Amino acid sequence: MVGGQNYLPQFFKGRKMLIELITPLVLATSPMAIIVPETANYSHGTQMVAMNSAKDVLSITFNGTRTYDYRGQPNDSDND
Amino acid sequence: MLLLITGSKDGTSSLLISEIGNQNVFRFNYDLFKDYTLEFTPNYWKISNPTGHSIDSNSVTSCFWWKAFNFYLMDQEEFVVEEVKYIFRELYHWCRLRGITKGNPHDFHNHMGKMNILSIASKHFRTPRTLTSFGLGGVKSLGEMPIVAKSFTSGLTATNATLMTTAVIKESLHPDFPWFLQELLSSKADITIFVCGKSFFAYTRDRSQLKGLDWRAEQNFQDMATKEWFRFNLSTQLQKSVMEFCADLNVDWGRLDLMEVDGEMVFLEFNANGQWVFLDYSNVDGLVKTVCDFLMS
Repeated sequence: MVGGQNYLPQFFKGRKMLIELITPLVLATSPMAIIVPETANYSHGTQMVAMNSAKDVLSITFNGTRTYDYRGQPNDSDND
Repeated sequence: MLLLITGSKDGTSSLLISEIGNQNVFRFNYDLFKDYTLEFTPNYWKISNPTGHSIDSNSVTSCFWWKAFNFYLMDQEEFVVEEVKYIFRELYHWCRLRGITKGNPHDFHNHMGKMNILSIASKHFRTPRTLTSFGLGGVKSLGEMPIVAKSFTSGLTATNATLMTTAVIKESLHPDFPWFLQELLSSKADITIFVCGKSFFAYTRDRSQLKGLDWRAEQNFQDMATKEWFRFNLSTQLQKSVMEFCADLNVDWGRLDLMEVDGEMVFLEFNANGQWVFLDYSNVDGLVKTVCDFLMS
């Protein structure tokens, strides 16, 4: 067991069967959502977003890795 | 004064400003470009915000790009978006050409991606067998080794899904798609080393409770009081390996991700602009102060 995952290849060893081919798109899953609080207002005076704790920091910025175009579509990501 | 190029909703940027002091930083938010006044000639520039706070080419002492293009311009024509992006990049590179940028360019990995970084890392660390493939080229050479599929870009599909590290069977891979494959490692702990100037902050995260293979898919955003990453001291050998790797890559900022396998550190990847606040959100290890000192140095 590796991190709770079964070792899949052992199941298929020695078995002849029709395997449906997989694609990266099929393997993709919904990423963890980053919720920006409605009350997260930026102030030019303080040059900060009003925050109460580090939790607010992480809920706004965590793991944001992709850049976006004008349609909000991801583009030229910089990786996390 | 530090020129901080970022987005208005970025919490890390706000954390930095709270530590450095508002008067010592000028925050230039890409997503709020219309709020600013910019005068930019080939040899002089000045930016002012609505309160009158300003920075110019004479007062700037350092420049840091942090996640600016992770935010997008709402309700703008594509032409406007691309023009604004161009200008932000030009301003950053104006600073870079004068040697005052800190950290790495936002497009670092466009010129130095995972495969080339693995090649460099292999001189300093154990690295996993890795294959990038079109038409399943080279897949047979992986033999019976268990493998995982990963993503280069962490990009989203049309259905807003992303490929996390996933165990796959070589025989089931569709030949019409690009594949980024790596040997599956059995490990008890993820390791990450945050590089900030000459400081290295090493952290470990237990993998025994992971349901899958990728810790990024199982982060606890609901209860951030629960510490997930624990700091440890780098061995002399590992510190030397990190130093030499960074020297080869010509970086003094970023995050190395590794795994501990049977007591040995295996290098996975380097993130030139990786997140770091999550390692020390209680600020007990002084990451924020160290970063601020680095940015203002």
